[in-house]
Amino acid sequence: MVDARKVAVTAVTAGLCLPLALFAIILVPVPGLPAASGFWIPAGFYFVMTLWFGVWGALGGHIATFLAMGYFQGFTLQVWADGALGDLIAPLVALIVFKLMGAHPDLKDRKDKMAWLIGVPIASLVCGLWVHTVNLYFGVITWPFWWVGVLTYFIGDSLAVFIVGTPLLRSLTSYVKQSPMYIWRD
Amino acid sequence: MSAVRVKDLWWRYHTSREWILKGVDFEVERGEFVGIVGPSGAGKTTLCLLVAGVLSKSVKGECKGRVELFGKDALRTGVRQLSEEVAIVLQDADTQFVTMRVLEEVAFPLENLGLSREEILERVSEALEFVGMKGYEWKHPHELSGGQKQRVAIAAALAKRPRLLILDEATSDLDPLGKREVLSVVSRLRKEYEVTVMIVDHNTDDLVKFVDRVIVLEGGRVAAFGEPRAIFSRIEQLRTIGIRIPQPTEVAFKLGAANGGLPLTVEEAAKALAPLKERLCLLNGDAYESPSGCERLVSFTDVTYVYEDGTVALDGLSLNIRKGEFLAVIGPNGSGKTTMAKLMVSLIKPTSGRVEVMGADTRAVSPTMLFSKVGYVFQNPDYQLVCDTVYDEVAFPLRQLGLDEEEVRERVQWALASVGLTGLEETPPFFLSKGERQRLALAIVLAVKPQLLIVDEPTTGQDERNSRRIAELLAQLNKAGVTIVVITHDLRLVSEYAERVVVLNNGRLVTEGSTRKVFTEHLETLASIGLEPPPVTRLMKELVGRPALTVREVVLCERA
Amino acid sequence: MEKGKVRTFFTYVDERYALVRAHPAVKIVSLVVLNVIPWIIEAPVPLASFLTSLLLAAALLKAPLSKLRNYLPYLLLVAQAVVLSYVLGSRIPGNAVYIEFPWGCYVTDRTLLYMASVMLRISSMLVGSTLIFLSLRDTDVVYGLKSLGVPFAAAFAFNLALRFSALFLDDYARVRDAMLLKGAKLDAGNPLERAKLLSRTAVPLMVIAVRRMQDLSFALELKSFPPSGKRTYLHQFRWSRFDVAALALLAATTAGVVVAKMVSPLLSFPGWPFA
Repeated sequence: MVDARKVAVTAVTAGLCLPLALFAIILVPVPGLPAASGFWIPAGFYFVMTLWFGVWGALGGHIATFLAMGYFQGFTLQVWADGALGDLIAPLVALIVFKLMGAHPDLKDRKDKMAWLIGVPIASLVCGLWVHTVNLYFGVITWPFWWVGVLTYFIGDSLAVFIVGTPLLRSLTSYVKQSPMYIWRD
Repeated sequence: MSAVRVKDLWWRYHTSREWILKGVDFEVERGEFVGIVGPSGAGKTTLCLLVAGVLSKSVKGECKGRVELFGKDALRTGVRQLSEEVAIVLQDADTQFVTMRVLEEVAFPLENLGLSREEILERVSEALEFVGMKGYEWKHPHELSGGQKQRVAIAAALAKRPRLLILDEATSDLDPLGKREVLSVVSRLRKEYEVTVMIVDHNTDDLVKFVDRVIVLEGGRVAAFGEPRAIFSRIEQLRTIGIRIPQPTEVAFKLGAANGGLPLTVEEAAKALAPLKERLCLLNGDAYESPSGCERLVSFTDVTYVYEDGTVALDGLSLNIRKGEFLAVIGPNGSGKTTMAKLMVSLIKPTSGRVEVMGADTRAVSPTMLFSKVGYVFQNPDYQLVCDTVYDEVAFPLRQLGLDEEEVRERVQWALASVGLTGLEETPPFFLSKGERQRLALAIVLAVKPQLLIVDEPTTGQDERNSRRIAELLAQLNKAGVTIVVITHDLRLVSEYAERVVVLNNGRLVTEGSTRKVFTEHLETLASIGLEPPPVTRLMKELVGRPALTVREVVLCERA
Repeated sequence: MEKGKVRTFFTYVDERYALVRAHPAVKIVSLVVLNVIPWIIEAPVPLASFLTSLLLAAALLKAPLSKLRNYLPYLLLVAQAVVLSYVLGSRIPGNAVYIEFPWGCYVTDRTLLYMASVMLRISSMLVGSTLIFLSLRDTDVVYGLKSLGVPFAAAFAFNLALRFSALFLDDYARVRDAMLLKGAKLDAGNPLERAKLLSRTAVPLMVIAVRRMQDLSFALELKSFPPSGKRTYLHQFRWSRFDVAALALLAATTAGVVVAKMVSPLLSFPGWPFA
């Protein structure tokens, strides 16, 4: 059931990530790939929000990506299907990895760190595959460039999530645990 | 039936062993206006959220005792049911504004309650009229000032026709005029609609004019509960707890004029002290000498600043700030105070005119070039805290300066000792209380040993103890040679510590001069922009025809 | 605000733009349909016809076509990407080979047609979406989604996101200012150092976000959100003849396109999409 807390998580995550997504597109464009960014800053935030608060954090990232990419390239089916949906899938994949490994987002022990080190690249790879297969399907790119797109996405997303997300998880998880929206039990 | 009955209430968060509320007991009658005061961390907000029935259902914690709201068990009744009876206005005007327009904001709770459209429109119109926001229906939140947003929040609360209205530090971020407007609206609410009101506020000078009774919370317990006159007569106890005493009360207490209870307002104090009029003397206080011979640290020469949207934030400002001054910048919200501060640290460049800081034109320097000489403490310290520990926070700017770790360690220890945070080096900054975070923000800037320190609203939302601590620290730094510029709405702070005052309104310099001069010779000018000197100034002007700046200055002399 | 202008999501448009007054559900359905149709059509000539009809219809409805200029840089970027992809990385057989590369890829007449199709498809989606978004007011999103069966709470979250993005934009600026005032060189120097410094700004932003989340959830609950019973909606939108006609036209066009795609090769491009 959708309650005030879930709406608050989604809205605040989206509100936080939207300006960051706009900056990322402007500051670190990828030549040849329209409205793409080589360092997707908001990923660091919505990955962390998803790990802390679950699906509703991922939904926030999804809304932010759709609005940011749409601002530059129009609010089209292609934008929704590639970038926005991809950015919904990626953090959820990371969340699933954490759940399957029984790890915790505070990155305190070895299992937590392994889940993070494994989960992020897997999530970025899955997302990259999704995004560029959709682009391929829409005809925007061809097969030889498909793997270039996947690789760029994988590197750009993983880098951003590791650089931005790691200090957030390490520094703030103990603080965020007090929040009633936190999904993990100690 | 009472409006609110709290019986032996205990509360703690699930992550904490400490109880936040410890056996709180009180009753509020229907139609009463009750003030809640207490130092930071006393449990005021927790109490408000429990009374409103929200906290116990949203947050994991342990609760004992009973809270009754108009006969309903607030701890067990659904929030939806309770929200028809109670409304809260929170401190952060922005976060609680959840829609895109004033009209929609006020209508939102009514829509959720399923009232008919006709009734919604009627109530919205009534509510906006009541708070003086009629005509603003189609405005967006970014087009409103902080005071206007809070009035919209009150309208949204009022439109529900609650039987209980709770204001949790709802006026902290407002200028003095905004604060008085909100309090007067709330007072009318209570008179015309018989709404029971509970208000949390540190500003006791204004609060005592409106409330019927006061609850004093300390360490999660009710330290006192009664009529304002009885409560604020317990001067020593309140000082120990760290609660601001209304100035008229302090003066009367000092002079021993307590017949029939201590006065609370300027008018009451004037009557109570009338028999002592002939014996009242004012110590002149330290005479302020304009340091015209001192080095000029900052100069504004005909500076205008226009934001991108066309708002003229500063209009032809010319001003000098000299080394060693303790300057206060005051003015209503939107008068250009923060813009002036940002120009001094080169965060923004003037649209026209010239700003010079320590001889350098700010157009030619970046903030990173000035930071070792000019320190800036933000109103909200959370913007400044980026590291994992308190130690690293204070060390951050020192490491940017390239100092060796030995010197960094020395300066960090000194800075933390100066602000009373020794021992908290390994604590993550966001675990500190609000007052501690504010002091940490000050320590970060102090460690660099700037020559000029700009502090933006250092006492807003702070309790009396923290406010004093910060003010004393600034005074000590000033004595040691640091030039201080304080932006503040707290005119008591200005009177007690600032030597010189600059008054801004609508981006223009209205007046400036020694604090004594501005607060005594420019009363009409100040009044025209909604500013009132501290109560003791007005009181002494009325009694002896001469103003005093602080309670310290007022003494009884021997008769000739 | 200028007289005769209506405020929509990102801009002000002439109030004579017919779509501004359309029912929110029509706008949302149009947004979907105007993306789905070019997605279904593959061949360049039908796509070009669709795009032309779209522009003509927009002109008739007095749409602010000049706003489309803002997307020209994006279209040029897409064109660059498409040209690069197809010239250097495709093997679409055709009647004439123009360029052949050592790595086995080549450019034929059909490569060029293919590129044209892709550009027409992207342009059609872009033009269609933009024309709808230019007419979309914030209330339209909530009311439009709600009238299509999306729960109010979910639709409302979208609006709230926009509200809060403005707040966080402000917060980001202040955090950045605070970093500069602590000597952090965010605009100069080693990129890795700058990235490390910038990543530090994430901490206060996140702390503020988590605090806001808590306050927002309290504020919403105290405003009786989400509604548990029947909810009233302040704004009322009535279905006009224009709305009904627009929906009928959209439905008919979509149906026509789907049927045509199924029964004839007119809309298809052999080998699409993985050529």
